[in-house]
Amino acid sequence: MQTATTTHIPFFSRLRLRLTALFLVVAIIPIVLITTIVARQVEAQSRSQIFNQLESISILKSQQIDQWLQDGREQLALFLVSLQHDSATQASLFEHATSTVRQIADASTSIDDIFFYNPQGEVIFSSDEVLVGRVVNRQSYFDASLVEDHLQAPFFDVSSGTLALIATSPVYNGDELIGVAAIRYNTEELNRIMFERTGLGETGETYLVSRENNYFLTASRFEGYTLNRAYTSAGIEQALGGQVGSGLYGDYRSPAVSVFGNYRWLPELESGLITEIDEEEALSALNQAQVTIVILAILVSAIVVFVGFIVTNILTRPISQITNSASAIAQGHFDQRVLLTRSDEIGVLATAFNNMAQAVQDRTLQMEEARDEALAAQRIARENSRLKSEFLSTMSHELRTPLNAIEGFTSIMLSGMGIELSPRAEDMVRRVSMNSKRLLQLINDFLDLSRIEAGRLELVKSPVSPEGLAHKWQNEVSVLAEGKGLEFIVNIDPNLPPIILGDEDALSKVAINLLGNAFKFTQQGQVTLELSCISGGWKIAVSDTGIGIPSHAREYIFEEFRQVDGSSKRLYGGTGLGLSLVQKLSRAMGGNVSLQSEVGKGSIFTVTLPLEVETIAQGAAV
Amino acid sequence: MKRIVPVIITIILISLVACSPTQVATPTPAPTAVSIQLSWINEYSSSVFHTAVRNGHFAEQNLEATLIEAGFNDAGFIDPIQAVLNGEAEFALSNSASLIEARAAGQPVVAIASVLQRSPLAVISLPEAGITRPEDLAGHTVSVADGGARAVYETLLLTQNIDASTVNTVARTSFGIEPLINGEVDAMVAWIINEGVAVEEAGFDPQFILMSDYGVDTYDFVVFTTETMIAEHPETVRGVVTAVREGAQDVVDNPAQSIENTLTYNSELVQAEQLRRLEATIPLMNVPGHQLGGMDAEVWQFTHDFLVERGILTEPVDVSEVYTLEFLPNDAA
Repeated sequence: MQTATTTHIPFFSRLRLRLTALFLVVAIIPIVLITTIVARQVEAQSRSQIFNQLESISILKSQQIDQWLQDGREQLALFLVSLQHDSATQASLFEHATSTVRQIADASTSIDDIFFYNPQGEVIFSSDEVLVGRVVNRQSYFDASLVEDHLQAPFFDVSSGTLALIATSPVYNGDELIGVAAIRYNTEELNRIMFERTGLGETGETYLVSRENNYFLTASRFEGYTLNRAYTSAGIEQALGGQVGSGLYGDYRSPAVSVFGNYRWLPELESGLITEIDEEEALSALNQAQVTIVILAILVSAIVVFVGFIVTNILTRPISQITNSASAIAQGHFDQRVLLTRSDEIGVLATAFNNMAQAVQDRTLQMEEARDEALAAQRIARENSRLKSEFLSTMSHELRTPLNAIEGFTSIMLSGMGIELSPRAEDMVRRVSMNSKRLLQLINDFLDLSRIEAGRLELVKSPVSPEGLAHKWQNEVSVLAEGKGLEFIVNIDPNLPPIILGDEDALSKVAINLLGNAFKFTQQGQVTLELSCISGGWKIAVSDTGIGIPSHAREYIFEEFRQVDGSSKRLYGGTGLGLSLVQKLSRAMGGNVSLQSEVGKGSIFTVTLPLEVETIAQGAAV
Repeated sequence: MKRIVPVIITIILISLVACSPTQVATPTPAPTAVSIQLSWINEYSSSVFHTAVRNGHFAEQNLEATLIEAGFNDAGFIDPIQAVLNGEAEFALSNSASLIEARAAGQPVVAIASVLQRSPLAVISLPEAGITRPEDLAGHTVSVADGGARAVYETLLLTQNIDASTVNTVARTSFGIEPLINGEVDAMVAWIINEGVAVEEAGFDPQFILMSDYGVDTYDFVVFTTETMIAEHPETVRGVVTAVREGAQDVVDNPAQSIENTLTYNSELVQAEQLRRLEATIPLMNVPGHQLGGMDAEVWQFTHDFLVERGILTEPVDVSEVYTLEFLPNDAA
């Protein structure tokens, strides 16, 4: 009975898992790719937008600063025009100008003061009287101011304690330099421009850094970073190096604070305009968008997996049903059927399976019936065989008893014990004796064969001497050699152990049968008995120079009652049981018999046997 | 006696610093020992030198600098000029007026750099006095210490065409600011970087008339040495000027760290007070158009001229001999 194959499938080999995984992979790969591409595009766009926004703010600030500077210059120009309109005496010019500069300075938010100093640097008049009398000849703008229009870069003015930005213009009376008109910008306006931080979030800022020692000219929006102190960053260095551009770099607060920055060199102010926003804040919207994208991707993946699971279930459930039915059938439940009412390929498969199951059920039923019949026949045959063997055994025994009596009496008669036989009578008695011996041998062979076939042959192993056996067999058959004038050669392998274990009777029957056959079918030449070692055992080989056995006969030569042909039986005599007995006994002893023969040249029968050596009771050898 | 303890401590500290591993980075040849006589005790006003030593700028010049603080000892005020002339120090700090006076007295001292580019001297007042420009001084009481400060003050009045008799100028007898904040005087002539900050610390809003704004400018914290040193060891002089300039740059860049350097020389100082004063000093050190340590000929000339006009110098001297720009970078103003 074939055992049913179980339906256990390794977890990772299950179709449901594989199909679900396939759905997942097929869905995930494009989703991941699309998500990554979209996320990167969004990031690139965000970064680009941040830089663009910073640049826009930076440009706007620089334009506002330009406007502020331009406005100051216009106020200075206005002042210069008012001076030229009054070409009276210098004293009256100054007196008039004082009121003029006050009006101009009061009217403009771009400037704090307008003042005028003589070529020696002494302030002659000013919109702020405090400045009158001061000497500016050691101010950094002084020398340049005497020559041409000049804008002094912002500097921290010790006197006012504030950031100062001065624009100057020399004033001539004809060719004579009479002094320099100067305006002091309202740097609060600069702070106002810088502090307008629309679009810069919580961490964004714009500030000005002076080339003079990297000083901050406008305040940081962060506490602890004071004006007029040196700070540096990659953006500051780039700006002060005259560069315009954008970048992501560590802030002046700490290299660990990464900022998006736009840097711009403002030549007129000899300062860098920096517009920055912390990366963390700038990218917060991007991070949120990326999180949303990832969540969406996960949701889509989950939906795909769910749909994949459902579809896989639809596909694999009938397969499982068919599998379970197949397993049930394999376990002997031939009436198992798949209950599926579908019109698709799976429905067709189920119908085909059911048809197959019906066919299997029918065929199995027939086979079981045939098997039962065969078993019954086998039982009868065995019984017949047993009865035959028993009959043969009984018959043989019953036959042997009278034969023994015949043999006994003929032997007495031939021995001349009390009976005087005429030569003719003696010849007849000898014939009776010889035939009774042949009949007895025949019966013995029958008995052996019947015992073997009946399974009652019992081999008794005991220590025997191969050499002793050989001599014994030589003695028994020497009469045959002498009778036919054949040479009988016995070769014993000196390497053969002196004592081996074996059933002497069985060995003798094998050897005597083979020798008997050899002498029987050999008319001239010789017969050789060879006992020798072979790999893993030993052998008894009997070779002759007889008629040989044709190749077609070698297939049945060992069958019972078979000789090469019927004529040989008649010519050479014998029952045809000898070689069959040799083969059966050889196999019963764990060996076998083989034949080499050539017609007209002779035959070699070789019995190979396992070698068992008696190591203790050598003294019991034959 | 009160001054002796910090002096001893300072000397010990200087000795320790001089012997510390960071100071004995000994390139070959062996560093040249130089001693620098400060003009006052170890405090913010000498932070440039403390920082130059502590940050290794003297060592970079293969110099082993020893700083000697000044102030008062049992013998009285320690005069840096006399210390250099006596051979107690190779270099020292003084001011432009004192150095011109020393040259006039035949003493071979030569200025080589000036830590301050503008004088910190100002007329300091409170807002209620209404003193925003020199002419506002008329009718007010102003306290001025005798000596150089008074000469500068009188020069201011002179250059601004103010009749000195209209101002009630009184002698300043206290180093403190109490007379001003107590209303005993309307204004006082003092340093914005010291008394000016002190008035702010006292909770007032000081008004300044900065002398230098009116062209009355002199040099303070001037590094000088002797003609002999310049003639015989010009590389040492150049090394000192370079180290001082780099120390000044460190102070400008990082005043807080500089004050920490100063505190290692004088642990009795109050760090916050010192930092405020140093931060007030930096704008006078680092002035647009003037490099650190630089000197202008016109300031020296002005100083000389007002000394002559004030009668402090009886005979004019050759101002160009009082200072040299030789050891400053070529673009020194």
